[in-house]
Amino acid sequence: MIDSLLIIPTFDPIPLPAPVWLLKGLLLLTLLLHLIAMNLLLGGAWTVFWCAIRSKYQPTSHNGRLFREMLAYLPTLTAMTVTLGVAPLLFVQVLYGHLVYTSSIAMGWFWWLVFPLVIIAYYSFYYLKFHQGGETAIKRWLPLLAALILLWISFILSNNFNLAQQPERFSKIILEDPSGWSLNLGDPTTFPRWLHMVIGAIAVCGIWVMWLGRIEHKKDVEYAMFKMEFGYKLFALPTMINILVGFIFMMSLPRNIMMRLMGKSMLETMLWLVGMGLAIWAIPVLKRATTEPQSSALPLGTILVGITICAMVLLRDMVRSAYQEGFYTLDMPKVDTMWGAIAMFFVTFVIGLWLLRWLVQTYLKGSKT
Amino acid sequence: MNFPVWDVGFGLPLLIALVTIPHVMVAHFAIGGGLFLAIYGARARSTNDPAMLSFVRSHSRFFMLLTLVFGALTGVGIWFTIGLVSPAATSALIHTFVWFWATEWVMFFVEIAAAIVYYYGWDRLDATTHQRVIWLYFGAAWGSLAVINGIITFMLTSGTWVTDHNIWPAFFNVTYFPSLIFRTLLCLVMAGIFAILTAAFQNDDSLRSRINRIAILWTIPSIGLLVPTGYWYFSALPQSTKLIVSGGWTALKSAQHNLFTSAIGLSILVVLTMLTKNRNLNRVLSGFIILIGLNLFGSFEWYREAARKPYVISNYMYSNGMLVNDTTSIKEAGLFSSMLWKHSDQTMKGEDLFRAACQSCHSLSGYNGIAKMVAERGWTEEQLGQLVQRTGYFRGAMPPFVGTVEEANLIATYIATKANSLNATPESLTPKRIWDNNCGLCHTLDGSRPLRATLSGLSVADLQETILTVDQLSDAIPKFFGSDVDADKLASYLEAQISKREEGVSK
Repeated sequence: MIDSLLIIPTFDPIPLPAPVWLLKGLLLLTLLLHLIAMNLLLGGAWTVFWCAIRSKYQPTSHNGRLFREMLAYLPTLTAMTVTLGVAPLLFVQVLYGHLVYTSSIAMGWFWWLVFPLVIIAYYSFYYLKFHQGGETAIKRWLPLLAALILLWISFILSNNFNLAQQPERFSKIILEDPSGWSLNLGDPTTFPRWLHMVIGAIAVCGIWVMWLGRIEHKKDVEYAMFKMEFGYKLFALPTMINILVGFIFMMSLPRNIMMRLMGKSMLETMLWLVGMGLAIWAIPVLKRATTEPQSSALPLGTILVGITICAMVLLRDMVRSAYQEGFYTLDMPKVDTMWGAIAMFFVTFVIGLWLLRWLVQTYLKGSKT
Repeated sequence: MNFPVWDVGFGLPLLIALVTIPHVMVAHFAIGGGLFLAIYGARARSTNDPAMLSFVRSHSRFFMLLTLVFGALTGVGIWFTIGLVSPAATSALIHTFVWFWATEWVMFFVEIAAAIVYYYGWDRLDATTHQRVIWLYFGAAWGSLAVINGIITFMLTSGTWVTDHNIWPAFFNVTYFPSLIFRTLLCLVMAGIFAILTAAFQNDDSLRSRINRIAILWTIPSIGLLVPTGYWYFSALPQSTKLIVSGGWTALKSAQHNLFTSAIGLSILVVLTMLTKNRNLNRVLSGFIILIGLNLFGSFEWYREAARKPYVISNYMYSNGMLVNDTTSIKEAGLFSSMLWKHSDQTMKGEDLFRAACQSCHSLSGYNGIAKMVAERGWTEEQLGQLVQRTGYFRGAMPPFVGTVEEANLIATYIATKANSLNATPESLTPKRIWDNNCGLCHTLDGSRPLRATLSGLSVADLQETILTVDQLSDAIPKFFGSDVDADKLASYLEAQISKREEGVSK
């Protein structure tokens, strides 16, 4: 017998330890940073795989050079993505824990397997980085394996947070199969939502490749121009496809939420239009950067896409609130602010930022004579 | 009760152990190893010792690959796992300590960044700056431990937090400092044993011998200091926890035994490694050292978690996610009515009740497999129903059962059905087994709920009569499950056990 009762766990009886605006602000800020790192990592992993195939591991070809150049960043990018992912995972549990834990349990094994899979991808990048030169079977397949793993993980994360905002799906999944081998596949938003994110990651990676071209421009013009062109292609085509996917995603949303983006809510409609508009505007701007690598076109295009990502992060949050409107709003939990502990965090945070700045500067400067 | 329970089949605690034990070992190495790199990097540079510097460099590569990838990711894995296994407890901890965790996250970030800059900085940074980076790494890594330690020890000794919700005494609770020092010593031990591992792969025999000698300085004194620190740690536990620890719970005793033998075994092997010059033997020994180190951590973490029973957060939440404060209201309403996750199909009521009340700790036939245990011990459904009602009295420190008699019987039926399907042959009913199946679940002769004084002086016949009417003594005691012959066997066994000890004392 299939149960489809609406079961929603109650939120924690312990009050929120800070005002909602502070927790939400930190959630969105750290999520934004995580998503940027994730875009570079996921897009980078697929670009590296593409370059590996195209170059057939010939280190002298442009693709071969780009393969090695981008690969060198991937282990650090993995570390950054994971580390920057921990903070939003922390804050989302404070604000939406009762929903996120439940959706995670619904897909228990898929969720649990995320971290062993990241370990495999992470070690694959290190292996490739430390074993360059000469094509072997393992080196042919590892870039694909790592890229597939990251793609799969992106699907699981997208699937989980999508399910977390739809508790009406909990009971059917969990009571029917408590073994944790289920995914939220029956929801029409599942694939458009995930694809929107993945295609966006490829586009953002394109901008990164363009920056690599711009930095290289004075040393090797030909190679730099290759990167500018290739990066632009990575950005432009996926962005155009993503506008279509974004529309499909919007149309797949429940009608009341879709209408909010279609004018019912001015703020959400504006964010959507601004996000999409700036991404479209970035296409000709970045096209110009391919012929004028040192001009202001690339920084401008990057800023436009940066604003688009910010708008999408905000919009994503608003869509979540719209989903949850009937059963959970953030004014429901009690708040008992721990000012002392908050002060401890911010003092550590400022010191941490200063130390990070010192570390990055020290490394980039390279003090060895 | 509030969250669904994930049915992994083999047992949720085993899943936690699988992630936690390797992570904790590597995480402690990440701290101790950082200090090791800082000290010997500095020493090699100041004494112009290229062999040692080259070892530090190769050790740093191993260190980075193990701690930055496996260590960091399994740490995130613990987040994922505890959210799946104990969502209610994770939620409570996050609501209480989110700012501490956020603080720890900053340290973790600095730690990761410093590790990367240190490793890639060998050819980019001057010696002074490079050394500064590794010291910064060590500071951030140890700071991270100092924060997490407060949360872990809070789970064991929450103090007055349950009533006043005051965060600072909760964080700096009575086991905070003993645990911090205990763990810091473990970090030093890990630094030593992992140095032995990488040294075993050095071709330079004299360098390897030097590292092995150095490793002794990191391991043996630290292991020695673990004893008084462990005693301090144990002394800080509340009396109720000490009773569980000293209560004769066999599994806990064996963890304690494992802890001591691992520490001794580790010390012996470390010395042996120093004495042996053969490189291959060194490698074999270093492999064993790491395995024993893993066992040491496994025993320690298991012991700590077991000492926390029946709670997951002491005095606040039971290990099955039920709040201590909710027990009365659940008792009044009934367990099934208080559960969120249940099927509308009434035939699944027993399974739903089992899942909510028991499955956080018990599987059916895997780890802590209750159906397996029932099949092996030959318990009847009736006996099981009686026992389910009295879980709160067990020596293994289980949460109390707060359901009705009918609900206990439904759970018993569900488990018994699963036990029958296992087709296991029950163990033969030796007197010791009869004791274990009846009295021994809650009593010992001399430890927790001791019976010796009460039973001393009774004849076999008196004992047999007491056994057969034992349920009349208190509602907490179920009737004796066995035949008159079994009662007679148990009476003779008890009489022999008591007189044996008395003879020993009088001699």
